[in-house]
Amino acid sequence: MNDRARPLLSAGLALGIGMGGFVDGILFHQILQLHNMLSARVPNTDYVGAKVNMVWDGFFHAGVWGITAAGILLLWRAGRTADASLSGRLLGSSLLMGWGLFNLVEGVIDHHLLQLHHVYEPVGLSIWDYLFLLWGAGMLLFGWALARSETAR
Amino acid sequence: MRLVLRLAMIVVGAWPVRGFACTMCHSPQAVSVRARLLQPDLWFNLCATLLPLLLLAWMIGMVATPSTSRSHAR
Repeated sequence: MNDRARPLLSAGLALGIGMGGFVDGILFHQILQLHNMLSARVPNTDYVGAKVNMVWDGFFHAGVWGITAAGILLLWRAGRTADASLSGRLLGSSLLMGWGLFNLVEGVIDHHLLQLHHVYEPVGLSIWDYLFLLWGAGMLLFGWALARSETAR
Repeated sequence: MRLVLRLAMIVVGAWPVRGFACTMCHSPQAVSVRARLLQPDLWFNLCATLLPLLLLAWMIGMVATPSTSRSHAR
């Protein structure tokens, strides 16, 4: 990997992971209420279960907030590094890769291996969980192809 | 006089009165929520919740660190 690209690439990855995590938490957990952090282990169908899941959603959001904060720091560092690439295309591609990585890692560990929750909880592990992975893989590959074309210039 | 007022405000602010704004603090539902949270699976739930994020943070660290720095560190 081109060392000039590392500072911006790592910042974009962190911010992309943050974007993916917040979209998952805000859109799927809170607005659409398709699942919660531990909804396959602690059913969220009664008041206490919903409250317990809300606590674990909070821990998840706190972790995502930490990664996003690290992304801001990395972006600041990239801006101050003398020979670091500051290409907008590289930033965009790394954001895509970060978001895709989030879907893949979170999807494989939480949905498939540990079975903490599933995309559409009422039906458990379903086609939606595989589509979530496919969505992540698509973003990762597209971002990777964009980054490669940029660093090859 | 201002010092006395400030001290009085601190004392009033720190007085251990029931938090009226916290609807969850003393209700029977709050007791149930705390009891469910503090079951023996607490640590599993915490580790499981944070595991993907820790793995992703490690990946960011790997990308941020130049390969030469990593080989020097060995």
